[in-house]
Amino acid sequence: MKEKQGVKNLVLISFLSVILFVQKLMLAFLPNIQLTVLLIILFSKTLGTRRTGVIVTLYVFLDSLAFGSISLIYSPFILIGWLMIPFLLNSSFRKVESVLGLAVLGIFFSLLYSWINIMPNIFIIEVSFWHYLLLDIPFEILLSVSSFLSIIWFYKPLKDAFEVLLRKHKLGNL
Amino acid sequence: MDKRLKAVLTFLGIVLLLAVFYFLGKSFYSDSKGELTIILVNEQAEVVSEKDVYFEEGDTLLQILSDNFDVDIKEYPFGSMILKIDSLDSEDNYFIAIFLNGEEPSAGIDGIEFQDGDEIKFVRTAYDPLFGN
Repeated sequence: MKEKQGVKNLVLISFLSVILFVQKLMLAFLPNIQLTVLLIILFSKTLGTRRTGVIVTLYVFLDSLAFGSISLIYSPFILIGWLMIPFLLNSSFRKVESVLGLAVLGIFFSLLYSWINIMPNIFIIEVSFWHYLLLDIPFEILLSVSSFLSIIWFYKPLKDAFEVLLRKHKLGNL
Repeated sequence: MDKRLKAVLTFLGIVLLLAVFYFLGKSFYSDSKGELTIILVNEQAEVVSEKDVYFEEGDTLLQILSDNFDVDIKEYPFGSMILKIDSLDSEDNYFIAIFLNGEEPSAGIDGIEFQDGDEIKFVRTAYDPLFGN
């Protein structure tokens, strides 16, 4: 029984990593418009920190391979940026359950991710933090607004449908 | 979540997204000041290459050529001279003549003033060492 659950979990984690990766690829033609924050928030709330952490790690690995950014300089910052979502959502912000509250957190996580990723760029391009931040503002707005809108529109229906599936296959929050 | 609040937030979000896209598009296009057509012609008057290149405020023709072509330039006290641009060279009593919109410019390669939409032609031309061109 335990083995069967292990296999189911493995399939679930792989499948959700691929979903994260495919949505990023499909929306790659629009700068910083993505559903990554929505999906990581959904996974964090329904699967917990550990499993979401593995999904995010796999996603970052696939993403770095596809976009050629796999490096000891960029990849750790991308990983930390996305891992902050399950970590903070299941600790400091664990009481936030309302859609609007999560949408506002979506903005916060988007900005946090963007700011964390300014650091490796400062080391490489050697520009000042404030200068880079200023140039990055339009892209931060795009990520924040797309995260906010996707959460207020899709979080509730996705969560309901996802929870039904998780209950059916006994894969709820462990 | 209240439907009216959701509609208002969505409207504001879309307006903000469109504004950022407009800003990004505008700042991208304002970076390039204009476009030049550069044509390379060999000694048989055949066009060997034609390329549209973008330039920005403050770019010189030499910079634009260096960015877009394989060029060899020699500097003399009276100014710069193109010895080679892609497949056109100035060997065997040839030189590379320059035409701005079909006319010979009054300045050399480093003094030519150009604007958006101009056509600059480089023609490999025979040079008579005894009597000049």
